[in-house]
Amino acid sequence: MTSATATAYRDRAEVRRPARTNRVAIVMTAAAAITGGLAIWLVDPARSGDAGLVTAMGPLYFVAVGLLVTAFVLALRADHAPGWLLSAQLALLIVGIHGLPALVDAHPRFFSAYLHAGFTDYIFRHGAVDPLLDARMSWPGFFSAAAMIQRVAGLDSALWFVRWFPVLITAAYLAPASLLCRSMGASRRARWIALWGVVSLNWVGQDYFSPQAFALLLYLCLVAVALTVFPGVGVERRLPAPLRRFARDGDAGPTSALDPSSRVVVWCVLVLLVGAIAVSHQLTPFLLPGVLGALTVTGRLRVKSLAIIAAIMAIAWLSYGASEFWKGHLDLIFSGVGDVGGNVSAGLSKRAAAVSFPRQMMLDVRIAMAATLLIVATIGFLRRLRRGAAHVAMLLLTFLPYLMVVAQPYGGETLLRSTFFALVPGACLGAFAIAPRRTDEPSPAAARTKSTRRRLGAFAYFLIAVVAGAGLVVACVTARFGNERFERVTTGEWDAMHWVYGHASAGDSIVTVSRNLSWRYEGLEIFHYLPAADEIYADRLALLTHAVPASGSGFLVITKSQAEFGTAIYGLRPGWLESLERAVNGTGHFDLVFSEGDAHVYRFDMGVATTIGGR
Amino acid sequence: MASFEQPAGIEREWLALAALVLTSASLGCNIAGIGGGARAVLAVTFFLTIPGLPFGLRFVADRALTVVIVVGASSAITVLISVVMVETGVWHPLLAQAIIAAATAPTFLRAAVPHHARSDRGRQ
Repeated sequence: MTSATATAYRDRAEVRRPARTNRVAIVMTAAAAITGGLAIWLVDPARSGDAGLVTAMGPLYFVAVGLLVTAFVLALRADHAPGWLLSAQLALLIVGIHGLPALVDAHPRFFSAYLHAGFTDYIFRHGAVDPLLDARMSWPGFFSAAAMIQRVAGLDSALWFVRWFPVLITAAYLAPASLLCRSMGASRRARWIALWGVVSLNWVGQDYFSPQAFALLLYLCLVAVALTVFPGVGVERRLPAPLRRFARDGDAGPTSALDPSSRVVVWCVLVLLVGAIAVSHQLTPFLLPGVLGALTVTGRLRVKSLAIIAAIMAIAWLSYGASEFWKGHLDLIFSGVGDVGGNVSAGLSKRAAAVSFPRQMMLDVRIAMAATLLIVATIGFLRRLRRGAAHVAMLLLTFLPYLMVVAQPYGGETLLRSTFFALVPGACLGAFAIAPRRTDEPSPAAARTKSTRRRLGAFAYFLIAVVAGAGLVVACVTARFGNERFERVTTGEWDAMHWVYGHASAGDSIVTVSRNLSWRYEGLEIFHYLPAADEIYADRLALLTHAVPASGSGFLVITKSQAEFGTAIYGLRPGWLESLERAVNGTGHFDLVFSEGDAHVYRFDMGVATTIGGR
Repeated sequence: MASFEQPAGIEREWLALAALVLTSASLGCNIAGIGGGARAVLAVTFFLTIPGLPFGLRFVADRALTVVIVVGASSAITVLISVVMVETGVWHPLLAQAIIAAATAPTFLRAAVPHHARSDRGRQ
């Protein structure tokens, strides 16, 4: 064989290798889809342990995760993998993580989503809001839009939206995430890694049918478009020499060559987004001016007016649309300002009230996931900085949301919300930790050499990528569905609430022991719901003193998920609800009127409640 | 820069045609009173794409930017229209959909019929 022929063979082999790798990736992706489908079909969510849904998933699910991650890493390594293959893998990942409850549970999950369906139902029926019903009604944008779509869609209940909302909204986040990556000049590989990161680091569980999930989409669209069309230019010239490194074109990827009229159109779209955010959520409108202001001050954003408009709109809506809320809650708004320690501990202690080893493990996974996002983002930033580009805008977008902790405990949820808002920019920046090259940087010549040592290194890199990727997906499922035992809605609970709504009269009370119930999704103003907030009635005295005497006649609903909720979140001893139910039964004033599976409904009347228990 | 320089004519026409079909189908379902999942999917798709598509058609050469502008603008317009209806006490979602359809249709019609086709028709 001549040397020319050998070279020709080598060249042909080089051409064939990506095609062969792609074929392997396609087969593995198909296998992952089939295995995953089978695994989901076989799973019984009722077997979820203290660590959540992950304990109910059979080994087939983990095989599917391994296959999918391997296929994704193979496709990325091929460098010429078709976009449809990577998109299909990403779609499988979204459904395989965020669509899990929709596929395995019989009914939509999570009590807050049911309440939000109730707000939507109120607007659907009345075409108006009642801010006195709940503070969230003062920012009705999300609920009114959902009610409008519900009417046009001809649906009788907003619960139709609840089941698949997390899948749809997570998929929607990928569009601005992709644009943000491009605005940084990320390579194709970095962009797909970032999108994969957005999906597999989204453990917070705030993407249920909620205003914050929707407001995050608007926020991401806004910053992605603003940084793409109006990026800061020539910042380095205005800075002293030592700081110029931090200003060097880090956030300036391929910029838009738009004509002035198109730029005006984009500016109008940005103002529309600011307006929609202002009326849709309590926290985001106040985060937005800070983020836009920081981007403007650091020279990353050319349109200075946007931060000012965002501040004006947030205050204007608070003064006009949300006045009913702040008139009575000024102390609630400002009491937490500056109390960083209190706000952090409100978030951590409340979230970390573990009662068993598996649950403690799950909570540790959550903290590790939150830390991983920030660590990987920081490494990505530093790797790019070493190459002479400082992505200050992404760094601000990742870390600024944590300033919310300074302002508000927000029911102990500020840390969760901050992590949720840091997710997309953090994942985009984190992709540079793995693939730091920019689109326009040539691949180093050394990477193309074929020494045995280098091949071994590449294989080790491949193995690490597969193990880390699969570990991240499993960790995400663990952290995200760690509360499955009380967040999933059983058929008994679903039927019990439907029975109650079918038999309750206007003005009746619907009482339970904690807020963890799939209720309030209709008739918000028609019935009297107790408890209305975070309290829990852990014993007979608390229930009879606080809830029943104030309730008139009505129904007491008791479900197994309430027992799990009390044990996991409030640290109550196992069996506390059975004792309470026995004690309530012993009074003789509660009639069991419905019982199915783990859900019981009792009818009571205020007239006899005053003598209950001989108090 | 490169992505802004791609030819966009055909994509514009197809997008505009798809928008007209979606609008007609969604409105048709409402007028005919057809229920079920198809109507729901059409309604969700309508409100998440149609109100902002006239903005997006300007940037169609840049797919990533177009998608974000269409989704962002559509969501924002839907939210703002619904809030205005709630605040003013004029709650007519079906009328709102009809107004959005009427306001956007001329843009889609102009984009769906290529400029050279309009010129040829004028000459004939």
